[in-house]
Amino acid sequence: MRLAIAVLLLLASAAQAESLAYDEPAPTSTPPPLTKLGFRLGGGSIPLADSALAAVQLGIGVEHAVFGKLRMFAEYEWLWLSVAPDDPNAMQPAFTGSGQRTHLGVRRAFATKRVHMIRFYADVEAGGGLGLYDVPTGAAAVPHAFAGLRGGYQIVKRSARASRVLETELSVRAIVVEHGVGFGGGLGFYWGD
Amino acid sequence: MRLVAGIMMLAVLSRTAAADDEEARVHPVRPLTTGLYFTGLGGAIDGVSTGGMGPTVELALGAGRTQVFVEGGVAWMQYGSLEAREAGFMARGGVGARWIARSFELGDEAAVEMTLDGLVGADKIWWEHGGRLVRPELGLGVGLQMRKFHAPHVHLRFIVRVLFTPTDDDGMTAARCTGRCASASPLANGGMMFSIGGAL
Repeated sequence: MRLAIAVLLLLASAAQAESLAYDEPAPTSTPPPLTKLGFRLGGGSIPLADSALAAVQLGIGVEHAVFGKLRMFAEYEWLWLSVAPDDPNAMQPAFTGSGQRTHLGVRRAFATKRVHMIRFYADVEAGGGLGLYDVPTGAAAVPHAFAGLRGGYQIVKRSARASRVLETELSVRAIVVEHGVGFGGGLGFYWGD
Repeated sequence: MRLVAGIMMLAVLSRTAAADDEEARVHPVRPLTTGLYFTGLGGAIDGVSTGGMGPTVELALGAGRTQVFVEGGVAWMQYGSLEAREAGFMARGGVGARWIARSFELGDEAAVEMTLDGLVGADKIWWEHGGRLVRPELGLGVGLQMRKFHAPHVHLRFIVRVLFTPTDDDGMTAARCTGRCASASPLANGGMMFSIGGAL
């Protein structure tokens, strides 16, 4: 009984120490691994067999350091889709629908510059995923691969009770699907803990 | 038996403490706030494009990092293609909840925050040439807000929501649908909503 209580107290104090360590300044200048959560608002296109879907997209993503500068991310996007009308005078799209898409990928910084609290960066990214789209003929599940660039800046604090990093970035990616190469991109905001 | 009970009690207490720690990481929201936004809507009714804009007001009760709110708004709408375009007036309202998912504090004064929200409600559109459309609304959104901690406690907020607005008014839609405008998907009723504004 005493042994069990002692073990529990030990575990509880270890967890508390870990919690307190979060607020302490980093012992070295190397930033510790971060987990990020954020969202992106953007647009893009998805090639189909005989036309292309234009997309407005709202995505939410999480990211975690794997090792070194390599980071892994997962994203979910909701897309508003349309096909341009055949008649150029018509303002109504020939088709409207929605879609959902997931991405899983890795990114790595290839250029960084830090000025006081602000760290500018340029990253490359690559990965793959699956989209489920409304198309004029019904619905389609379309796998994809992607590669792209991200550029932006992070405001970095050495310690904080909440998020330590606020990141703003622009991204553009080529998205390869069965019928060609589309693109996606937008403006994203991420918070790092 | 006592040992099991003790462990369960410790587990409950530690979970409560962890939840408190998590709450304490974010500066608590005010108990009562009011907001005013400019809202834009874009989407489709049975696959026919529609859009509009107008003001939205909000009243929110909050504690910790969570708010529950009621919101209402009006919007001037456009529906259909250039030739067959129909104008309308929309009134909408709903109840929802907002949660501060992440907070980046700017000293002790303010924070830049990520919010997640959900809303259930309804809207009604009066068309200029007659007819009405009533639809339920389900919205899921994400937001970016800058929140000042001290008086005058200003919040600047940008919200993007995905809206689901099912309708079965096929007759109205068919009258304006030329070509392949109707989608086979039930998700063809809905769209996106953008709101930008402030709260006190």
